[in-house]
Amino acid sequence: MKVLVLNCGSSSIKYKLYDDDRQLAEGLLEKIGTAQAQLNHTVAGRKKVVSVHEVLEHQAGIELILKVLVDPGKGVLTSIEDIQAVGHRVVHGAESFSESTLITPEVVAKIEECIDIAPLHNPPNLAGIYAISRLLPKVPQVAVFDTAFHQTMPDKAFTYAIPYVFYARNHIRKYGFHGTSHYFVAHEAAAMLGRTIDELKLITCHLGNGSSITAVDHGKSVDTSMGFTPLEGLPMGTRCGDIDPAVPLYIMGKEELNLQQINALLNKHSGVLGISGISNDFRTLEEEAGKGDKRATLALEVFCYKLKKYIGSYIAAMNGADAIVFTGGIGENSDVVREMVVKDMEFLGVELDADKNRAKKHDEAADISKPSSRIKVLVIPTNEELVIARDTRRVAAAN
Amino acid sequence: MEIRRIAVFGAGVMGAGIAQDAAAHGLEVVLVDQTEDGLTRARQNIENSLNLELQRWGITGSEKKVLLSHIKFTLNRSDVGSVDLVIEAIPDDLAAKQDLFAQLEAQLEQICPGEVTYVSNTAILPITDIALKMVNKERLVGMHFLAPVPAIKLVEMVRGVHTSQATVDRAKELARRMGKTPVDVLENPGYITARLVVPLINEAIMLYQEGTASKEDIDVAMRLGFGFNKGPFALADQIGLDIVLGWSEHLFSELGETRYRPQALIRNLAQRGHLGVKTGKGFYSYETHVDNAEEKI
Repeated sequence: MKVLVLNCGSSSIKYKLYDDDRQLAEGLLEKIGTAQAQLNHTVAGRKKVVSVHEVLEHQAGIELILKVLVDPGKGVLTSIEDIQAVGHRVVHGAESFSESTLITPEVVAKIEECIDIAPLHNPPNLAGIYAISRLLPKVPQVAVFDTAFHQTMPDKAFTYAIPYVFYARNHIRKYGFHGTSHYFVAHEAAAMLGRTIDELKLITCHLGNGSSITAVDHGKSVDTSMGFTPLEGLPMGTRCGDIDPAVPLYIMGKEELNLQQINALLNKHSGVLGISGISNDFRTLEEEAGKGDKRATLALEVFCYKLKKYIGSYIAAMNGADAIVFTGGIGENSDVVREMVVKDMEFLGVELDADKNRAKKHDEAADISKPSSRIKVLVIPTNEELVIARDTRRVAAAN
Repeated sequence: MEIRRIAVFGAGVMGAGIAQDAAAHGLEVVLVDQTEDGLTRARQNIENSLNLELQRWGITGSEKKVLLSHIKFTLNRSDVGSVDLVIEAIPDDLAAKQDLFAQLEAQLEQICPGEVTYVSNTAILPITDIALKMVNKERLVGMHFLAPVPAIKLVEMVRGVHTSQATVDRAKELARRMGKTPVDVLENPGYITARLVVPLINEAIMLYQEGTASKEDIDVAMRLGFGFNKGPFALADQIGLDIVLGWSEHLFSELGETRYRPQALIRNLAQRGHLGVKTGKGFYSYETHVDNAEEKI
C-alpha cells in the first residue's frame, strides 16, 4: 500500500512516500509563506533535486509536493490516484486520543479543540489535513499523535501538584511528546534483545534539539520527562527543562519582562545555549569543551547529569530496567554524551563498553554495554515516519 | 484574500514602528520615504528597537535577521509593486496627504485594480478631507496607531463619510493580524485617545506649576492610585512632546475649550528639541544605551 506521510510545521512540510515499509521518496519544503519557498526532493537512488517556488500557504505547498511526486522526471508515481492513504503527524491529541485515528470531521473538531493547549503546533498540522481533504477527498487520512503513546501514564505520574481545578477545568497535566519515537525504539529494542515488549522494562532517551526520556514498562509509557508543553524535563538545545518555577517569576519581577519575553527566554535562549553562551549544537559544544571551554563543558555536564538522574528515578519507579535506549540526533551520534550519562552506574547494573560505544557507526543500531551488564545500553536510530506509515496502513485498512 | 504584502509611506517614528510590527507578524513590508536619511534613520531605529528586544530576551538573533529581511527600504514608489494595503504615515499636512493618496491610487489601480485598501495613520485630520482627491473614496480608512507601535495593542479605526464597511473590515483584519485590538471612532477631533489624554496632561502640568506636587509624585499617584501604566508626565514623554503639542493645538483650534490649550512648558521643551523618550530628554531624562546585544548570544 502506498502511503504519504506528512509532517506540517508552521513554515515547512516534511514528507515521505512509502510502499509498505519501503521508502520511495522524501523531501522538505521550507519557507512556506514566501515567494522563495525551497523544495528539497530526494528519490531513493537518485540525486537530490532542489527548486524554489512561490508557496504562500500549506495547500499550495502540498499541491506542489503532489505534483513533484508524479513528475515524469523527478517523481515516483504515475498518478496521484496511486496514493492510497495519507498519514499526518499531529503534535497534540490531549486526552482525546490514545492511538492513531482515522480522520473524520469529528476527529478534526477534536484536534481543533486542542489548539488551545498547542497553539504553535496543531494549527499547521490541521492545515495539512484540510489541504489533503480538498486535494485528495477520497483518500483516507490518519492522524498519528506525539502525545498518544504517553496516554497510558497513571495519574500519579501526570498530575501536577497545583489546585486540582486546573486539571479539571483547563486540562493542565503532563502529556509528554516524542511518543512515536519512544514507541518505535522500545519495540526495536525488544527485537534486538530477542524478547517480547510485554516482558521488558525499558528507558528510552530521545535526545535531539528537543529531548525527552520515557519509562516504558511492559510496552506502556508509565512516565516521561516532557510535560504540559515540551519545555519540561531535560535541558535542551535552547529550552531550560526543569527549573524551580519561582525562577521565571523572580526574573520577570526583577527585569520587568513581559510574558512573551519570559516565554522566549525559557524556550529560545536557555538550555545548553544559555549555559554555554556558544551554541545549541552539541557537536560544537563537544569541540569547544575539548579545547577547554569551561562553560561548554558545564553545559554538557548539566545535560548529562540531569539525564542520569532521570534514568535513576525511572529505574526506581519501575523497580528495575532491562535496557537503556539512546536515539535522536544526539543519542544516536554522540558517544561523548552517552558515556557521560551511563558511566559510573555499575551500582545499578549498567556497564558501558567504552570501545563499542566509540566504535558505533552512524545509522546503525548497536548494543554498547558489556556482556556482564545487567541493564543493556542500546543505540537505535529512530524512524517516526515509518511508524506513521505503518499506523496509517493499519488504520486505513481496518476502516 | 489574506493580507500578505503592505506598503508604508513615511519612515518616521510611526511609519518605521508600523513596518517593524507588521514584519514581526509575518507580513512583507515595503517602507517608502523621500530621503535616504529618513530610510537610514528608520532602519537604525528598527534595529535599535530589535536589539533592545533581544537584550530583553524577547527574540533571538536569527529572528531579528528574518524580521529585517521582510522589510524592503526604498526611495522609489515604483518598488511598491502589487500590495494588499497601503498605510500613509507622513506628517499631518492635509494637502500632502491628499496628493499622496491621489498619486498612489493612480499608480496602484493600474497594477492591482480594485484590490488595495488605503489607510491613513493620521491622528487628527478628517478622513473625508484626506480622501478628497481620490476616485475610490470608499476604500480609505483611518488607523490611528500609537507609539511605540510594537508595544501598544490599540488601533483607533476612523471612518470617513465615504468609508465602506468592507474597507473597515479589511483594516480590522490587519489590526488583528498585528495583534492589536481595534476600536471604532468617528472622525471627530482627537478621536478617543488624544481627546482624553491632552486635558489629563495639561491638568498635570498645571498641578505641577502651581506647586501642588512634583512631577514624580503626580506620576506615582496616577500609577498606584488609578492603575495607570505610566503617569501623565512619563506618558507625554513616551507619546512625544511635539505630538502632544500638535494634538493640543489642533483640539484647541477645533473645539475652542481652554482645557485643550497648549501649555507653555510643553512648547518650551519642544522648541528646545526635548521631545521625550525619542530624544533622550523631555519632562524626564532617559539614557538610551543599547549594548551590542548580538554579543550576548
